[in-house]
Amino acid sequence: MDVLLAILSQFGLYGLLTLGVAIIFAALRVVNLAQGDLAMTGAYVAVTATTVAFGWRVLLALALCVLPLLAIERVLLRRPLADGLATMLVTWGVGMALRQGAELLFTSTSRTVAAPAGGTVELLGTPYPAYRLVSGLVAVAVIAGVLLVAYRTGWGLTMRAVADNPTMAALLGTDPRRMRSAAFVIGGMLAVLAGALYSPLLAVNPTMGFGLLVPMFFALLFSRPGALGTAVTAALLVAALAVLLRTWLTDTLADALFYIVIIGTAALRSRSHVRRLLSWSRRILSPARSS
Amino acid sequence: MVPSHPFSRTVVLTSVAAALLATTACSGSAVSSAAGDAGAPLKIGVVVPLTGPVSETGKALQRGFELGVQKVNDSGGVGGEKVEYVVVDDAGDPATSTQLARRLIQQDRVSMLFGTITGDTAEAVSRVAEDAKVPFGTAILGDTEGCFPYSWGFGESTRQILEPSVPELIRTYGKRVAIAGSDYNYPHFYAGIAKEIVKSAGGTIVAEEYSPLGQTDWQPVVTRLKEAEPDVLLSMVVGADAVAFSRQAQQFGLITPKLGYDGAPLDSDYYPALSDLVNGRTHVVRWTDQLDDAESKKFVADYRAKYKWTQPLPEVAGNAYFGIQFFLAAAGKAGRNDGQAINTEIGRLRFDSPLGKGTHFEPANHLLQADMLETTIGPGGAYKVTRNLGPVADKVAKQGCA
Amino acid sequence: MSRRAAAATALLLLALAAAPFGLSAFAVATLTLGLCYALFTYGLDLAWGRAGLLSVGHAAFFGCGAYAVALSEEHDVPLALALVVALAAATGLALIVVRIGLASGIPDAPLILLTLGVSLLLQKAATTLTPLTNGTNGLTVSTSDVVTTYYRTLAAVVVVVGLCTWLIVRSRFGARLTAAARNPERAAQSGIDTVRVRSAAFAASGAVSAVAGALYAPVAGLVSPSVFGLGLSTSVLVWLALGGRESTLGALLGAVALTTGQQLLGTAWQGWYVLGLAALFVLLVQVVPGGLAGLVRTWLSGGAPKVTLPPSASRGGGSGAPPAFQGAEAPPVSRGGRPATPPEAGRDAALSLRGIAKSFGPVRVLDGVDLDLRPGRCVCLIGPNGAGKSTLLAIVAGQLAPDAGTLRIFGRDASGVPVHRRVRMGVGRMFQIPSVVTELSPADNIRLARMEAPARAELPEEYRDLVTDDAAAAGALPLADRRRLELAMVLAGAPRLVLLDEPAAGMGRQDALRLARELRQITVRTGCAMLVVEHDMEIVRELADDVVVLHGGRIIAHGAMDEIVADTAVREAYLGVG
Repeated sequence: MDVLLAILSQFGLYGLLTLGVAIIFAALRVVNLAQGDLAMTGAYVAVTATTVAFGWRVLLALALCVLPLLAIERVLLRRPLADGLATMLVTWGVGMALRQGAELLFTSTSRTVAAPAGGTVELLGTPYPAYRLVSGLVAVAVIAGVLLVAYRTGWGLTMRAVADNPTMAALLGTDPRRMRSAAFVIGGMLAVLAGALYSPLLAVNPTMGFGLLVPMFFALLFSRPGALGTAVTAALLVAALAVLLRTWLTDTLADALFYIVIIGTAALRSRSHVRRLLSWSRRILSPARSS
Repeated sequence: MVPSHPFSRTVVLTSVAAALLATTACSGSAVSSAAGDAGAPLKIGVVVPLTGPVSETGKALQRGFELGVQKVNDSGGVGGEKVEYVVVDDAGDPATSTQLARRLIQQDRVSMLFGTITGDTAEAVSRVAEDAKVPFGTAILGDTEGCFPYSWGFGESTRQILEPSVPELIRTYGKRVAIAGSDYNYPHFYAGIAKEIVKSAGGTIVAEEYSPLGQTDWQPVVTRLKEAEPDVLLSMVVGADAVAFSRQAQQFGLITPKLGYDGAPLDSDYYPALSDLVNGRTHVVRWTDQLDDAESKKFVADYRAKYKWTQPLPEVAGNAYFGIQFFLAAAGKAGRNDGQAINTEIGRLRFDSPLGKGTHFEPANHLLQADMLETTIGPGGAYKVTRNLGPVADKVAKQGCA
Repeated sequence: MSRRAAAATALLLLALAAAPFGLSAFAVATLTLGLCYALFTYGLDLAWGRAGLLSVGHAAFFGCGAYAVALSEEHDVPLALALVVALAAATGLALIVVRIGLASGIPDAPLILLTLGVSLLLQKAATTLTPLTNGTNGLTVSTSDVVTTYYRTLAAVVVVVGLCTWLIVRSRFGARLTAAARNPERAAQSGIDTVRVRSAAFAASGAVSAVAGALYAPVAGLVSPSVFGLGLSTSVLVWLALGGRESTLGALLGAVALTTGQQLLGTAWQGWYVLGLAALFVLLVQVVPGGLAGLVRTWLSGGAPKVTLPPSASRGGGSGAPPAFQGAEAPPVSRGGRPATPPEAGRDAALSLRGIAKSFGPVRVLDGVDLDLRPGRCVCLIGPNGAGKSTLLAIVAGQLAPDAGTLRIFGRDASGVPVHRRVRMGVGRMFQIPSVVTELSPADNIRLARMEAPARAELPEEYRDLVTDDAAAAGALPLADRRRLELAMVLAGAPRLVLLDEPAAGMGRQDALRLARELRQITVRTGCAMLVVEHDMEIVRELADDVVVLHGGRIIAHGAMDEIVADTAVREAYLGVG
């Protein structure tokens, strides 16, 4: 039970970040390396705006980030359109600037936020921190909501169409540029939400986003480009792997093993016969699709 | 074939060569380096992290140091000359510290070095200082494993903290002690000493957990610690992790008022983030801004005025303030700006300051033998002195100095 | 290298050699550190710039070299032995990583993941294995005086860069690499083993980085786990991005400039320096994506291609000189005409397929295809959409492996033979969308095709202009010219079996018919066999000796055009009757 709750909590964090970065990747074909730093800015809003209730602070963070995100996409990510890697480097620069800006503004000292729902709740006999549960559930709800929008509404369909084939989508009357802006803002907002929502669990400091980048990156690379569902699944797997290893082993050993498993999986996945095996097993598991 | 352009690479290369020479051309040439100049003012090199994750502590050290030098200069300097210093930023990276320490010695011709926050940078500068035979002072809390003949620690040693505090914690809260730490050299060293002292105080170690730096989720660790049902938790989880760990441990109900809690998270650096968690607890320190003597009070007032500081003063600032005065007193005794001579004097000097009467370095481990204070943490981060523990000796010999 | 460039290089070396006489000790020490980082950046350039393989954890290799020096001093291991082990480790690690990466179709994601994972894992290991590595406190490395260290570092950098320039950048290997990194499909189709070439470059990149690390250790004086860190890995990416990829000078200068800037301005400006650097970086990537070297190159080259093949590419295989025969000598061609004796091929079929089958997931695309193609004949493959025509072509070329069946090319079993080796057996291929190396000039493209050609082939008169066209990059050509260039590349490879996928797609009627006639001529003149996928019946009529109709993964008809048109099965397949 404890383990499941731990996975829920970690998945909420990684899931929000990965989903955001996957949306951005789908529309812009760019890995947003500033994603962790966007989460950091969200957390700082939650830390600084202490005059209003926590829930409002999270919403405030989301509202405040819309315009800057739009500006970043419009001003900085438009020009090197031709080269995806150059754009990726721009996001790296943006992240670096955000980190350094936060350090100059708030100093490098870590801060915390009091959890809005203190105390513990009883879950099947085990006490569990109330806010940890709330944040995990809210995160999962948001992830589910975003997926629902992406797969069940016309807007989501258009978005995925743009991701699949921008030129085609443009011919069919969707403005891919507006879609790119929207995707970047939404993806960035998910990161800001993750940072603000999880701020009571974390130490808030300028470099906090850096540590979140690696698991998010792993999850993104294990997902299929443009397929948001697989990104969320990959985030779940990465979270589960990290939590399970750390539950069974000491942290140091778990950490090393985590990387070994990730590297091993990447190595195996790129072998064509393993890929084929995977696709067969998928076919066996879902025979309906093969007809 | 590539059409070759009239000035293609020639222009680029020549301008590059010129730029290289122009931008880096400073005083003198590396080939003919002169010997140290005599009769010049005493110069100190300060290596501190001014950017990066530990920059705040670095800045506090720098401020304490500067006020210390200012005080000495106001009362006539050393040997009638005002003391000068050069501050460089190592960003907390040991390779950069090494580079910069060498630069300070070779180019700026400093006669002593001061600073560093993290243990790895301290060790890096120690080695440079040893090679160049220049004394080096640190003010960080806790000591390093090794000892270097030219390095002197003004911060309290691990034993000086734990010897008074652990028996008190066991007496107050109970015998079952758990240890948590970040997974790098110092926490392991800290835990080794802690285990020794816990044992001699009649306690038992019930759990020991290390986690890599940069951990965001502490549930597995906290769960394991909780299962061990400790009465006392000693934490050497440092940096941002100290805050996240303490918060999550509190949320899981591990850290309650009934649990004895001591270690790095109780240092004044973390007070703004963890105030509700540490208020009312006792913590053993060498110096606090609440110390009730004229010199400390003046220092605190100056610090607050000069740097517009309202929060509690970091302990490292005080250690640096009195530490550099100790160093300069030794330099005054040596009478010349020769690193080796000053180093010998540092080893011999007995210095009176708010840190204690006749504070001096133990030759076997280069640790400052000074008073320790038991403080109780009050609202607003006031580390109120509840008991002066007097001089706490740490004479355990270390490799390198003994 | 031109005389001016040589003179300039000598001048730069002279300036570097004289630096200790004009600079202070600290400046020399900074320059030494800059040189170490410069070599590291150059190492990364071999992978990211030259081989087109992005590594975000290149510090893994750098750290191997640095730790080798530190460990050899700490544990009294001979330095030479430690260095050899480190080089072997870095090369081996790089090879494993790149092989895994290249095994998947798009190597970017697995490569990023693997390099990142490996570097972080090594960092963890260095942190945890305290008895060996002294954990986070690191290992100290003794140093000789500043000037000696400087000259030693400079000498090593010059030797390594010189060696790499000679062996990797300016050699025929470099020409192969240039093509393999930019257009692996066309490179393989020009007979280049792209996986091997790129892996070798990546391994060399790992080795160079390890050397840089080994040089860095005594300069830094201390080696700690941060040498494996993400911070260094990203710094080196930034240095290279600023300096400019695929430019030796750009890589070196980017690193030296930023290292010096950090040391000179970092302390004075503190946090603002880092913020300024971030802003400058964002700005530079926006304005000059090619880095400073790219800027200089654009400025100097005008409209000429920014990428060129090294001169060594035109040695051997073929030369750019106009071929001996004149257009007038080309034999006159009559429709349906056939050379009396097909040259070389003997009586063996150029291509022989038996029972070729291929499925994609549950979809059976090819279901037992038998086909024979004789030298000098042109067979057109037609069939409705989804009939498996392009798949069949890809199987013959070697891009896809069949699930069942045998495939013989000139009598030799070619089932397991990779694309580039089939090219050496005489297979040439044109793609549906013209595939040329767009960054290179047309002349370089043809040089490339000639480099690995099994025999020297002269180009027909109407392609000669391409042989000397060095003015602009091939990407700037209009579609029809790009297709012409691709065909010229295929012909320059002296093919005996040519595979064409809709050669006339996107062309005007007149152009298409002219192309068909040209192709016709080629089979006649060279006696090569041709397998063409085509939709346009008019072209098919112009081109084909035989027509093969593919439907539902099987051949349903085979014969002359008129027979095919009359065939009822074909009519059913196309019109859906019955």
